Parts: sequence; C-alpha cells; structure tokens
Amino acid sequence: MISLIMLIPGVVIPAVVGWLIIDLLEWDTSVIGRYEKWVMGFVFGMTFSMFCVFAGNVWLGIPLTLVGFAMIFAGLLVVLGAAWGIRRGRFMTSVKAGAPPGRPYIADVMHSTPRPMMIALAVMGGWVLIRLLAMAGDTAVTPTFFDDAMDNWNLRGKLFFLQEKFSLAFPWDPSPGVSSYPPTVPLSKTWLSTLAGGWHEGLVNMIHVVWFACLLALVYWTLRRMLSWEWSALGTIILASLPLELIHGMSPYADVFLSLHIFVGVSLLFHALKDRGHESQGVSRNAPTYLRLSAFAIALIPFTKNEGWALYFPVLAFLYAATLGWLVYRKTMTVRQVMMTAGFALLLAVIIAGPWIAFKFANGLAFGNAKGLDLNFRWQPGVFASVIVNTFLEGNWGLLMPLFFGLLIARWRSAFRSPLLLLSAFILIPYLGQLFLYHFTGLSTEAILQTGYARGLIHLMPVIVVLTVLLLHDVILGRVESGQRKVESGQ
Amino acid sequence: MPTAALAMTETVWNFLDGQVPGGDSWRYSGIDVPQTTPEGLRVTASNDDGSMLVDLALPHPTQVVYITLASRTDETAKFLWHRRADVPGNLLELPFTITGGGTEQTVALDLDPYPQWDARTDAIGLSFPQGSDVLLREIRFSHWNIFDQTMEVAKSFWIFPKFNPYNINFIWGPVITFNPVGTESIFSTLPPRGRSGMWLLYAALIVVAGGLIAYGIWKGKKQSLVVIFFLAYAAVWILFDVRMGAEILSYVKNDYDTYLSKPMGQRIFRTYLSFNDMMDRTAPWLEDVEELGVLRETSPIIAMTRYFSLPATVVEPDGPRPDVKLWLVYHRDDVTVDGEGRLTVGGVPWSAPGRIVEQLDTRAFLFRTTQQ
Repeated sequence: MISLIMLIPGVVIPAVVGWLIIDLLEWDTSVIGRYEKWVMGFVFGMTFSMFCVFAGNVWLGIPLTLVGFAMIFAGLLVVLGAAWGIRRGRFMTSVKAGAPPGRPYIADVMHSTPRPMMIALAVMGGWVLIRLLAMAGDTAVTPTFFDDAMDNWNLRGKLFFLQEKFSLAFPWDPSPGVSSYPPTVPLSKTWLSTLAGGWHEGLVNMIHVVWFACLLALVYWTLRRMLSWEWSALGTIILASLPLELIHGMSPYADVFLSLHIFVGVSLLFHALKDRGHESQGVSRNAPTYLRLSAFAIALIPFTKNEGWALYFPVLAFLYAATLGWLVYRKTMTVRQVMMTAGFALLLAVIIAGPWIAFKFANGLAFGNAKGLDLNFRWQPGVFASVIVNTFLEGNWGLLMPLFFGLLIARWRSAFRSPLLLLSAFILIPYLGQLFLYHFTGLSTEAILQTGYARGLIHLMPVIVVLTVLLLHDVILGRVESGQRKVESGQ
Repeated sequence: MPTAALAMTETVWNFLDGQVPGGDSWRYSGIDVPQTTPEGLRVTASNDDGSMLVDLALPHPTQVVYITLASRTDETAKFLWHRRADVPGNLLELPFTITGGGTEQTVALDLDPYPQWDARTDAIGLSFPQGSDVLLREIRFSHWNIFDQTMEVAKSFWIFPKFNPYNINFIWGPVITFNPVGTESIFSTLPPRGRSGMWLLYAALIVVAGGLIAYGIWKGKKQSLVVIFFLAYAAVWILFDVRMGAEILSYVKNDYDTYLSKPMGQRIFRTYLSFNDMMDRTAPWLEDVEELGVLRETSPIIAMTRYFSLPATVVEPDGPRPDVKLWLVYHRDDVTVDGEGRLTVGGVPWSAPGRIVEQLDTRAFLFRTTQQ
C-alpha cells in the first residue's frame, strides 16, 4: 500500500514538467483551462520526461537510479522553469490573452435539459463510475494478467529497473522483437519502481489507470469547448462505458496510452480549425497556440508505440499541413504565422521524434508492429466476417459503431463539409487503411483471430466518440452550425 | 411416440426391452448385427468404423438430441444428420464423447447454435469408431415452445463468462441460447454455444425505427420522431450497459472471492488458477539465487515465470545442471527425487542433492539444492 502512494509523486513531478511545457507553448495566449493544463501536462510531461530519461541513459550514461531520475527531472525543471520565468517577466504586466475553456460556443444548448434526462445521465455516470473504481481497485491489488504486459511492457520496465539501465536485450534473448517498441511505457514503470524502491505490480499497473482517467477528462474538456456540460459528460460516459475500452484503460497495455497522445494531437488541431477566439482583423491568436500544442503532442506519438510512427504520424502530419493550408486560405492565420508554426512543428518532430527514429535505424529495430507484412496482395477470406463480428456483434463497443456509421451517413454534410472533416478524415484514413491491409495482406490473421483489429479501434476510439457526440448533437438539436455562425458573427 | 410436456415437445425412442424404434428402416454400415437386449440395443463395430442411419419424420422440430447409452471404453462417436435440402447421402456430423466404465450416461447435444442443423431433418444416425461396443438405451428429440425459448433467451442474456486473457482483444458480450442445455453450457466452449445477443438489441431498434417511419409517413411529422428514435436507442444502450457493467463487476467479485480473500496456498487467479499463488510462494526462495531451473509440461507458463521470477533468470536446461540451485517442477510426472536427494528426469540425475522446499500443488513443487 505504501508503494501505491508513490504514484502521487510519480505523477505530480512529470505533471509539473508538462505544465511548464504547455504554459511555454501557449506563450502569450492561454487556450488550455486551469485543470486541463495539469491533466494534459501530466500526459506531455511523463512522455517527454521519459524521452529525456531514455536519451540521458543511452547517450549520456545517466543511470536509471533515483539519482539518475532526479538529475533528469531537476534538469528539466530548471531549464523549463528558467524559460517560464523569463517568459513570465516579459509578460508580467499583461494577463495572458486567450480565454480558457468553460465558455463554449453554444452556451445555452441544454439549459432546458428535461429532468428525466438529467436523472438518466446521472445514473449512467454513477454506474460507469462504480465500474471504473471497482476495476481500478482490482488493478491495484491483483497481479499482471495479460500476455503483452508480461512479454513486453511490464517485463522491460522491470528489467530496466533491475539493471538500472536501458537495454535492448533480455538475459534469455539477445534481440527480442519487442525491443523495437518505444520504451516510454516501460520507463514510466521503471520511474515509479525507482521511487518506491521496489517493483510493485499494483503501482506499475496503476499508471495506466491514471492515463485512462486523463483521457476521459480530456475528452470531456474537448467537447466542453463546443457543447454544454451535459453533452460533454455524455461523451465521457460513452467512452468509459465501452467494455473493451474500459478493459484496455485498466490494463498495462500501450494502446490507450497511444490513443491518448493521438487524441490530444487531433483535438488540439481541431480546436485550431474551429476556435475563433481573440481574433484581430480576422486573424486568430488562438489557432497558432493550439497548433504549437498539437505539434508537441504529434511529435511525442512516435515515442509511444510502433503504430504511432508507422500509421498515425504520417496521417497527422498530412492533416496538420492541410489545416495550415486551410487556415491561411481562410485568412485565419497569416502566411508568416503559418510558416512560423510549420517550422516550429518540424523542429519539434526533429528534436523529439528524430532521436528515437535514428536510434531505431542505428540498432536495426523494426518499425511495424513486429509482424512481417506480406505484400503479395490478394483477397483474404474470413476477414470481412470477423470484422463485422468484432465491430457489431460482440460486446466490445456496445451500440456505438452502428450509431457512428449511421450518423456519418445521415449527417454527411456536417461530417465532411465542416471542420468536422478533420475528425472524419483522421478516423477514416487509418481505419480504411487498416481494413485494406487486413483484407488483402498476410496481416489478415490479426483480424481473423481478433488479435489486432480491435487495437486499431482503441487508438481511434476517443476521436470516434467525440465525432459521434458532435454529430448526435447536430442531428438532435441541429444547432452546431447555427451556434457557430452566431459566435462567428459576434453574437 | 411424441409426448407433449408443459415446457417442451419431445419424442422419445426407447431401446429397452428389445424395442427398436424406427424398426426396419435402420440402415447399418460397418456394424455387426445389432443385438436387442432388455438393457438396450447393443451395437458393436468389430472390424471397421460403423454407422447406423434411420429416416425421421417427427411431428415437431428438434433443438436438442439426448442420447442415453453405456460403453466399457472411452469412445468418440458422432451424431449424424441429413439436411432436407442436401443430396441424399450427404451427411453432417457432430462428434461427442462417451465415457467408458459401463455406466449409463446421457449425452445432450444442443444443435441450436449450428447453422448447419436442420431442425426438421429427414434422417439421423450415429457413427462409432472401430472397436466400439455400445449399449444404446434411448434417443430423445426435444423442442421447447416459444414461451420457454423466450425465457431461455432472457436467462442466457444475463449469464457472464469468466475474465479471460483473450478479453484484451474482444469480449463476447451478451450471448443468447434457446434451450436449457445451451444455457447451461453457454460459455463452456470457444466460441460460446449461442448466438450474439446484439441481434436482439438491433432487432428492437429496427422494430422501433420501422414503427416510427410508418407513423411519420402517416402523420407527416419528422423531427420529434428522430428524437424518439434516439431515446429508444438510449434505452437499448442502457440495457446493454447494465448487462456489461454487471459483467465487469462480476470479474472484480470473482477476483475477490477466489484470490484476494483467500490465504496464500488457496488462491486462484482467473484462468491461471494457482499459478500466481505458486509464484508468490516461490518468491522468497528466489532471493539468493541467480537462476531458476524450470521443468514444465507444455504450457504457456514460461513467459509468466520469467516475468515474475526476475531478477532470477529462468533456465530450461536440456540436460543435467548441478550448478542450478533452485528448480520449479510443474506438472512433470517423469521428474522425481532419487535416493540421494537429486532431482531426476526420467531416472537421470539433473541436480545436486537437495530437497523439496515447497509443495506448490499436487503436481508442482520447488526443489532447492543444499549446496551454498
């Protein structure tokens, strides 16, 4: 139990690092809410800190001991703190410009929410909360259960902790395939164990519960920027109630962790498209800020899971570039702003993603999901039926997927001819890409045996839920666009 | 002889006292001449695999076939049937196991989940492997009425499976069956013996949507009907959520009942049974050794043993290793301790002398050499 308490400093210290990063990236325009900044700060801070721990160990020989971790965190806090101090001195006389979230575009949408609906929402939320707490408690006091945790995520963290250094080899296997996966999740467990002074199953697994809680909170705040708190809570409840999502959220796998980074990157990009706050002569001050933050999240993605680099980073880079193009076309940003933002994003990608990718090349590590890809394209029987079963006929996603696809078709104008296109494109490009690979390559076994297909959906699920809620709101109240127009016209 | 019961319609074929329902229409192949006896029809297949087929014209459909028989030896027999749409002679088969020992047993074959099953099949049969000597006593063909089927659907919808390692990739969700045999064994096989309960939810939504569309066309209203549809969708969603939430909580309760609330030595953890308990009891012995020798049956425990044994490294030697001080022997009946206190594999000494320090279960133990 004492070990579990170490979760608090283990989370708070990286959260401070991340808070400073976000505050610096915002620079003079605040777009992230007070509490949201701590939550997002933990996400950014933990991953970026572990990147520094990895780099410090591999290239500077800083050991994975308490002293080593202290050196890294102290270094980060001093450097970021100094930069924050300089920035603060420069803007001391002026309050940061942008408004934190809390004033959604459509402020009055659900003010007349019927009482039975409110009760239903509260009951659903309570029922989900009971499950979350029960599963979190279970995770804290039971041993690791799932294969990949014992073969990869926890195993590597335990080895790093015991050996006090990063290593690609196992004592029984000089070149295990799982070493190609980024070490962020294992190193986070090494960090927690180092703090606790020993390996504790509950402690190292509970960090996943924290990440899942962060994901739920960030989904809420993302929706809150556009919808009332009731609709935002509905989205959060939907995500938490999906059975397979909940199991992943409570398990030491890296898929929810990856989806968290993806979601932050996509949602911030989406806000850059939609947010018209603090315009001056039509030019938004908020958009470049969102874009800087989004660039940071996207730059972290290759350091979360192999699929992050192989599948999602290219799609996000494309959508990022498309968003910049759109914003300059709509004169929401100036060409100079766009050039600066693009340059900054490129710099972040080179600084953060670059070293890990270079390390992988240098050590001959695989870039895919550790399974070879047979490029002899031919129809793979059995895949389609398996996809249908996993998507619609098992308990994985409840009734979400028919609702999602139904809304995508019924509200295609909103989904494909509004800023929601960004979310639709982000979901459909990787999803259809994966379906193609499953249906026409040797990766079909991942779908037929149901070992890989659902993981892909886990990565996309937070974005799917947000898009579904926005379309649902659109179809029921039909006021997303009109509300936007009101705001855009200054009402 | 059809017998109508309150819960089901049933046809019973009784082979006792020299009776042979179906009479001369039975066709035998590879089977010695069957003998009618007071205890049932004796069927032997001395020289070859044998089968017996009979035409069927029951007044009711069949969901479950109960076969009561006895055999001195364990056998894998097959239930055969012919689909009316298929060409004559084209038979489908469902294997089932007969436990030896000569005692009477009833095998219940739930045919509902199989799309290949024809509930009004026009021919059925049995197939036995060579060497079989079986006493067939009764075959029952059962069908439940719509009320009972509905009750079984409702009951099975709320049955939860155990938490499994494959649940990281998918969760069955609600599964429905249409008869008590299916309900009783719903999650005993992979995949489960039933149909996806999601069909029920979709059916409910389609009925609501159809009704609303019809009403909308009749009344000319649209917007409020859309809202009503989504309210219905929410209601069905909540039903699903209550079902799945209860399943998730059942996982937690099971962990408490079988693992957390039990003392060391009696703890069962999900599908790994006593393995985690064994590793906890092994942990103190790992503190002063660098290697743990593992002798195991073919099973997936090695990756788990490696993970939980760290910092000790798991080794699986191909031959004697007197330098390994600690050994985990897991369900290997060929591993014993000889008179000199050494661990032997097939009679060959593999370790230095020592002793069993922990009996982990009836077929697993921890062996520690006495060398320092």
